[in-house]
Amino acid sequence: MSDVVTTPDAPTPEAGPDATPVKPKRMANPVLRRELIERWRGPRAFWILTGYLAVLTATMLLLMWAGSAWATDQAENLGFDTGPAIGRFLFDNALALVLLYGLFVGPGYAAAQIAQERERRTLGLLQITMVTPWRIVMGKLGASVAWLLLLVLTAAPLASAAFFLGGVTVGDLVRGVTFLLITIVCVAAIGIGVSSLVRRTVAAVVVTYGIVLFLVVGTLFLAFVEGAVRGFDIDRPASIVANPFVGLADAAGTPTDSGLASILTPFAHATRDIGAINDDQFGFEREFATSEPAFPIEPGFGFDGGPAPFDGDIVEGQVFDDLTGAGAAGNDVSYLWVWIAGSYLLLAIGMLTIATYRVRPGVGDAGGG
Amino acid sequence: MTTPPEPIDLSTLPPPAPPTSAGPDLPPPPTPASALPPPAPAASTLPPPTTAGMAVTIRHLEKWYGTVRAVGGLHLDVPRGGIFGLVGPNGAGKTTTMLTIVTLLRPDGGVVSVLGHDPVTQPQLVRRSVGYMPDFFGLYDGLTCREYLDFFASAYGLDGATRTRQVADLLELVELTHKADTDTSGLSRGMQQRLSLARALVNDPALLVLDEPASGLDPRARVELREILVELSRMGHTILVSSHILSELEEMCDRVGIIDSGRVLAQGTTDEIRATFEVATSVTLRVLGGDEARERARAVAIALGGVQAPSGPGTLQFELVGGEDAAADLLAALVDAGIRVVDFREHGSGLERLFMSVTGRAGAGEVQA
Repeated sequence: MSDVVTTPDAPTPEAGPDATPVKPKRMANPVLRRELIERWRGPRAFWILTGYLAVLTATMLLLMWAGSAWATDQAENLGFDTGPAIGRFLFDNALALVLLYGLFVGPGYAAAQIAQERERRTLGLLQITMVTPWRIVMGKLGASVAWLLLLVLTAAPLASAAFFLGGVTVGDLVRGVTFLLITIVCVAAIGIGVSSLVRRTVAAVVVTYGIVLFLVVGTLFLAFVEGAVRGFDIDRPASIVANPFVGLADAAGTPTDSGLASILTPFAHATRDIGAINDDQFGFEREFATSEPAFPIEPGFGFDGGPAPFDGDIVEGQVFDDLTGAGAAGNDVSYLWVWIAGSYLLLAIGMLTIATYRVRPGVGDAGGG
Repeated sequence: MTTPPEPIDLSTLPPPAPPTSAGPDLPPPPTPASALPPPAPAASTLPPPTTAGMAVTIRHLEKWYGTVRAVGGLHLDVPRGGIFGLVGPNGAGKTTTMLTIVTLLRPDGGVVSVLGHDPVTQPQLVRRSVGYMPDFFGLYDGLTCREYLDFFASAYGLDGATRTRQVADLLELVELTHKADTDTSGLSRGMQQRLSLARALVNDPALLVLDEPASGLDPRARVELREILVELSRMGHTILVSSHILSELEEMCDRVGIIDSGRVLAQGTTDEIRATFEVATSVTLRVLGGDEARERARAVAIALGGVQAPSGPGTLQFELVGGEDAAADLLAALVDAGIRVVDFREHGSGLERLFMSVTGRAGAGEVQA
């Protein structure tokens, strides 16, 4: 046996009442580090990511095939360029699928974070280290978001492929991904907040899924009820603005009249009226997206081996349009998504504050065990 | 590393509460919230405890769980250095006291000083110098032993080479170097317990608090654990260990505190407690010379205050008050009387007997100041 090492960096074992406390060095959040090791090590994470991308790619190819079939028909019958419509169709669906996946996977992981520490009785052991409750919570949040962030980032190339077809701007992509990330952080924060309040992991997961389900489906139901009560004579039910898909449709500038409806198209309708309100408020005149692709497409890119139905020329100045969505070249974007994202962030801060309070020693239970 | 323990005069211990009709140390029956007693005096109104030479000093500790009083008016003095055993039945208040010491519980009243720091107002200073091992392992499946210790070392602010060296030394100390890269779930119970002990040592604490460290271990693992604790004590760590298995503590503790119903009934060395509570020592002896010699021996023992107890054929057994001194006096008197003693054994004066005697008197309301 050897003596346990006492080093200059180690806590002072004989700290007396007058001893100057040795402040531990700031380093990477140990909780986050451990979570990442536990989750990402080994082949499991690799295969999950591969499977996710395979499914997403297959879905995108399927949608592209369907879109191309529609576009060929339109091009032959009506004679107009449908490339931008397909680009928009793929882009919107890619964002919607990633959001759907995030809402599906996020709560399950985040809601287990603190409740699981409590169940395996390691929370108390964490609480008596030098890691503050805030850092514990932020480590848990980081671990929850990191995985979803990876999923979003790996899916981004798929979504940005739509650039080659037109109908999408960099602003649409940046706003859409920004809203996606904020929503994912919010969902993770909700999960962690609930996890700190509910003792059992299963219960925390169920409650978190319930909250997310309410945001996605419950708001639609409330909107329907509100519409029914008011005789469907309203432009924008109040509850619809809490819906993440509405926010995403608005952030991504999903058009309502592209001719090829995506998952986000129905939600885009809910944003139009408030968009008009915002136009009045902020004095902007909005224009719908140009129907031009961001990058030129070579002939013969179509699935049938013939000329691609969505050929077009690059449009100067379109790519780097106003990222706020209010630019002249941007798609139809209101500021609704900013309000939704802002309220999500407030919700996230509230949940994280609750979690931090609940993770303090002596609160909730006797240190987790 | 630490100064040797200073002898404590039991007469300086705070007096126990005066007996009541229900016994002085029994918790009150569950009380409706509206009928709760007034809160314990604020810490600032109590005289500060003397902490010189003490690792832990507690005065008037009060802790309620709802309407149930877990600890009431508890006083405890754990000197620096050595092994202090906290002995008591389940529900006596051992774990509550320990959780308070390690900052995982906020007391409802009283003054607590740990290595000169207040766990309530200076929790970070206490955590820096205290290691805690609960009565469960608190392991993370999916981490190896090395990663597990490395995680907690980083949580205590150790970094880089310091951390690596500390982890390696601890693995060697608890004889788990050969299992360093084994998943914690693959360890035997005894190994998991030793790893848990290593975790408690990761910040090189001056005070090590161990709650039922040997519960559930097989005899070999218990012996190994005891050897490690004795070694740690030699290395200068102050160890506060609780158990309701008295034989486990008897062989390694320098001092003990007997706790029951939320109060410490007695504390000091076993001899000090035995003398204070006039706990009888049992002595068995065998003499040459037949019945006549045995009769003379009986007369000598009774003259010294001994009480004869049933014994086997050819032997005599007496209960003596005064511990080892009384036993030595009896032996000297027998020799002086010309009685040829061929076997003389002191037994039955261990911790178990001490505990039963002290708690029995307390229950009967016989504890005197």
